[in-house]
Amino acid sequence: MRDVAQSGIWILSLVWLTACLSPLDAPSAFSDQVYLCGAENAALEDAALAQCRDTDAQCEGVVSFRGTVDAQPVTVGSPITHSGITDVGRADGTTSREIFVFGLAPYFTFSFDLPGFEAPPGHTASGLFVPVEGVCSTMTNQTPCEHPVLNLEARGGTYLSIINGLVRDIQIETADDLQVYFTGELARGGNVEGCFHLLAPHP
Amino acid sequence: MKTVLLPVVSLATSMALCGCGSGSQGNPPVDHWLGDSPHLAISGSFQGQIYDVNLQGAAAADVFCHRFYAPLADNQPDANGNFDTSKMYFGMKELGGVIDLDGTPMMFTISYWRHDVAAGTDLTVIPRTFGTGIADGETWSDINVFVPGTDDLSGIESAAASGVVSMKLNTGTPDANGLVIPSGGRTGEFISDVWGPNDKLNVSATADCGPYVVGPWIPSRLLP
Repeated sequence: MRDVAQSGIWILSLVWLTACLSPLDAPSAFSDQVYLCGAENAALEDAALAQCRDTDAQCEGVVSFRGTVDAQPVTVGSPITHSGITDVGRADGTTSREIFVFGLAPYFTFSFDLPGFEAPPGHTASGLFVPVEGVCSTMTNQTPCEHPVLNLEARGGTYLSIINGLVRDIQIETADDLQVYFTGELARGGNVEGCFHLLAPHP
Repeated sequence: MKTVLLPVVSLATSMALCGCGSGSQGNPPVDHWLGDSPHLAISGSFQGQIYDVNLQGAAAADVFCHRFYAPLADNQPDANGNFDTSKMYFGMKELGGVIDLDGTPMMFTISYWRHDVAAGTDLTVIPRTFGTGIADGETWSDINVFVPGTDDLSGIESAAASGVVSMKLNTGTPDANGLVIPSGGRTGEFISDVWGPNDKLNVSATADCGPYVVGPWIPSRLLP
């Protein structure tokens, strides 16, 4: 956990360089968060990635999003604390890759579960992601559920929502570098737009 | 501090304040396991919705149980899509059924993760943190509430912050590899899940388990 905490500290340090905090105002910590996907903060994103490429850093990249979640405005910029990959064969013999990225927000941890990438990487199409047709039930068969999901985890419970109408913009897709921008509507109300830049995990 | 309210709890708070969601059927509170006959009984409240459910007898005919197993990293399905059951770990068990919430039929499921312990054993519910493992004696427990026939993630999906899963009945015969129970067996639990002061559910359930399900998505969320 110390490594994760240290990973979180650097992003806060970057933010504090850009804003003065008034200790008496007690603002929401979200106001200190930076949306790293915009061109205006490209330098911050680059700095964060440089930290991750340092072999001493225990982060796997950068993830950021903003939008409305459960009727609350949310902006988050975070190191990717860890990631996961699930490969599932399709009927046509190709492989569908599901990417999980995890990060830290001021009051919760979060993860994006984004399915439908191609494996081996390099040829995932940008644009609207269309999941497998039909009702997706994990309870009745072994068919993979290709739902993009945002999951928030806090001390008092969790909030998980499907992301409908996910539109992806694949910027980089290699064996050890994946950069994706995305937007979508949350099935439980609200919306998100964001990005992640996932580097190969350190050995 | 009002500016720092968790988004996670805001919906629950607003629904509680408006007082909506009463679903009282007059059943006694569920405070213990109701026995080895198939049933699903729920009492408490969650996100402003009162749960007062007691499915017994014929009304409990469709109460179900599914065991989920996770393939280890080197376990790839064969040409027929079948995994090697010697290279798996228990992911979770899910029990559920269609209940009545304010006159509306809704699918309700409740799960416990990672440790499928013997009858007579209690598991402590800890906050769910995807991407991590679960120590012996602990578990995650979550609920799903959604319209029957729709995607099972289309409604509420939420894991409790604390609670207890008390295993009361757990039968079934593993296959030759000793872990996976292909189908059958009966399970019964009393589960007390807590999200916060106003969000607590007690659930008693007993059901016969159907064919097992392999969840390739599980290892990215629950480490072995």
